[in-house]
Amino acid sequence: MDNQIFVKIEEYDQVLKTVNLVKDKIGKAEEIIGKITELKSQEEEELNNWSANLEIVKEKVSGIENELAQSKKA
Amino acid sequence: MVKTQLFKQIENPNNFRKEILESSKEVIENLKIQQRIIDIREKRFELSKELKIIFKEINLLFDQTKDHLPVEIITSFIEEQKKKTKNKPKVKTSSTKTKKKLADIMPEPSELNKLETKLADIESKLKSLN
Repeated sequence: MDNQIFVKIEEYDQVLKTVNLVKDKIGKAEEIIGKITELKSQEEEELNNWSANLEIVKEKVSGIENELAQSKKA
Repeated sequence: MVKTQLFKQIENPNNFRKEILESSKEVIENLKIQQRIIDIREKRFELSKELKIIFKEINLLFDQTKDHLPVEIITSFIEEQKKKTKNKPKVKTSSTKTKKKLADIMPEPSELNKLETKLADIESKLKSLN
C-alpha cells in the first residue's frame, strides 16, 4: 500500500485526545442548536399570539366604529 | 353672535368606554409580546455567537490534528500543487499600478469570502488525495 503512514505513539495519543475534544465540542454545539430551535419555536408562537391579538384589536375598533355610527345627533 | 355647538349622543357610553379600554389592553399586550420577541432574538443572537466560537474551536482542533500527521504528506502535496500550476498556461498579469488601484477599490474580504477560500483549499486537497 502506497498511502500507508506511521504516526508516533505520542502524536497518535494526542490525535485521540483532540478527537475526543472535538466530540465534546460537537455535543455542546448540538445542545446550543437545540436551544436555538426551541427559541425559534417560542418566537413563532409569540408571532402567532401577536397576529391573534391584532385581530382582536381590529374587531374592537370595528365595534367602536359601530357604536359611533349608532350614536344620535343631539 | 353666539356660536351654535353640535353634539353627538353616544348611545351606550359604558359599552363604548369598555371597547376602548379593552382595545388599549390588547395593544399593551401586543407591546409585551414585542418585548418578549426582542428578548428571544437577543438570546438567539447570543447563542449563535457561542455556536460560532465552538465551530471555530472545532476547526482549530482539526488543524491541530493535521499538524500531528507526518510532514512528508504535506510536502508531497505542495509539490504536486506546484507541478499543477507550472503546467497551466501563463496568463498575462496586469501591471503593478493597476494591481494597486484594484487593491484600493476592492474591499477587505468578508468572513464569508475567507471561509469560501478555506473551503476551496480543503476541496483541492481532498481531490489530490483521491
